[in-house]
Amino acid sequence: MGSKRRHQKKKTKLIGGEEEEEDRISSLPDSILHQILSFIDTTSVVQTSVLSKRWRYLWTSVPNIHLDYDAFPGIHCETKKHRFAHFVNQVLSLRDASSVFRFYLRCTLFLDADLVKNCICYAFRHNVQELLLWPDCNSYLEHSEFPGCLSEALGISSSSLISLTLACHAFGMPPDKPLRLPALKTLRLAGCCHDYANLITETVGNCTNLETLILDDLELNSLNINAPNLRNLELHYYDDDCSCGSCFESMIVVSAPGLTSFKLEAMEGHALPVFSAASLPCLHNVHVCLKTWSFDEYESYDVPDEEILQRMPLNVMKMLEQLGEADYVTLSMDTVEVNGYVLRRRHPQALHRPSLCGSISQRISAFKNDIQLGKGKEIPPELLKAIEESRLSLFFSRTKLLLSDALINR
Amino acid sequence: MASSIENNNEKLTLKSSDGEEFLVEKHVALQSTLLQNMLDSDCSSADVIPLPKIDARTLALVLGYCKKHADASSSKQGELNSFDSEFLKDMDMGALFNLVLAANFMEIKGLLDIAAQKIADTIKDKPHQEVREIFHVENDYTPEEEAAVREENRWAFEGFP
Repeated sequence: MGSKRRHQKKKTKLIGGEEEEEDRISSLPDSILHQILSFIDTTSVVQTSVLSKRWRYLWTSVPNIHLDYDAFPGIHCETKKHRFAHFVNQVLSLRDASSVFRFYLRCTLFLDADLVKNCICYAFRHNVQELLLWPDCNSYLEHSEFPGCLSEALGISSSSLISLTLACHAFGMPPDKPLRLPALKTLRLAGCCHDYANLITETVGNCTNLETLILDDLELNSLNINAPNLRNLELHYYDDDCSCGSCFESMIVVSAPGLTSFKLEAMEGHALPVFSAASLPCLHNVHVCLKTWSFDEYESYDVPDEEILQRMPLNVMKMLEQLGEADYVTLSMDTVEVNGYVLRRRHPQALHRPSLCGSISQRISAFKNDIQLGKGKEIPPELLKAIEESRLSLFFSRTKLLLSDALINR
Repeated sequence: MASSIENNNEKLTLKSSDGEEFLVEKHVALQSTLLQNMLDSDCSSADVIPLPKIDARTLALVLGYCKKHADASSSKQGELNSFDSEFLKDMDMGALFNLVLAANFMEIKGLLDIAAQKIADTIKDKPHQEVREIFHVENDYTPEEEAAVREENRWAFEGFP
């Protein structure tokens, strides 16, 4: 075995079968090393150049670029901004000509608009497939309006981009033109407020291959989605527990015949979704979570308009009726409580309309988890008991049938 | 092609570099794009498919991964994720490198991803000397050359200890 060590450190197999002192990582093919380095922040990737000669130029063709201003050393100041900008420019100019698969740029503080524009243009020129621009940021960004240059850069039509994640929180203004991304399959936008309604509608209309649309921290009066190939739609309304704005109804109109999964969450916010959809024949999974409204506890907040509140249970029920064709419907407990509360406190006459909903038994509150009702699934006995004592089942046509059968069997 | 219906329940035999044979259900083998392409192009008429680069220990691991992923329904993503993280948990580096090479050769994207991620996590946030030691990377720069590389990429080191 020792004879193998002729040339510095080469393969050394010990008798136990364990390999030691063998530089396995450096002998991996470039493609695997690129894959490994794709999981690492670009600063660390460039730093691997000092490991050995094998690593000197590896970083220049790693397909993922991951730039995080917050993780860059130093506290936020002009010097750090300059250092970061220099770093980014060096990376972009020294990289080889290979394509970029994923480009990630994150900062929670203001970055020079030209730098952002350079990044986007670079990514598009290198056939980027996934672009993430400050994806997990909240409202601390210091942009006051959608920077013109960013808008301009995103206005470039990219035929390679498949997935775009963009947080718009602190942009006072949406981009002036809808995005033109014909290959786009996944669009995730965060922080879209009222001005964005048209942008979303037009962008979704432009992106005919769109399969997944996720809107986080949504704050819109109306949302019109017409997407023939859309399969997944997730709407998460702005979750703001210290808001003192007034309640508003958010009209959601969906035309997506291929939709299989729909998720709606409106927690603690002040948006009351009003949903209407053309037929959704493919719907498989529905998840609706609406937060309890307990205005008594928040005297200081604007209690919603009485008329809006009166309409609310009806609107929620209509939505659930339209989604009732799904194979699986998961209702957050709070949904029941929303109705329970409003029905009991604000809209007692709804109790007399059996086509809408029965009264909600207090006993259902015993369920701490979501209630999932699936076709052909056995109903837990506690739920059956609760249902017997209330009439929760009337929400869903199919589920009702199932539940009725189950009750008859008993 | 007439036998395509029977093929659904067909098993195939894979042979590792050290001669061990593994009988695998076809739907499990289909997790590998390499095997899928071989089956599609009907190269599978051979009784035994040799995998000369993959030893028995590694192949057993790979097939365990494929079986789990082939058998789990799509609604069990959470379960698969926890399986994936358990799968590599206590694996030594040697086995991990064998696995990453096997996943690359057999074109099993999911496995390649988790194995690459695991290696990446080991490199991440560590000083170079430590990375060199963990992976036995031999520093073939002269001190002058290493200093030159550092200088060349100074913009990536500023602010780091």
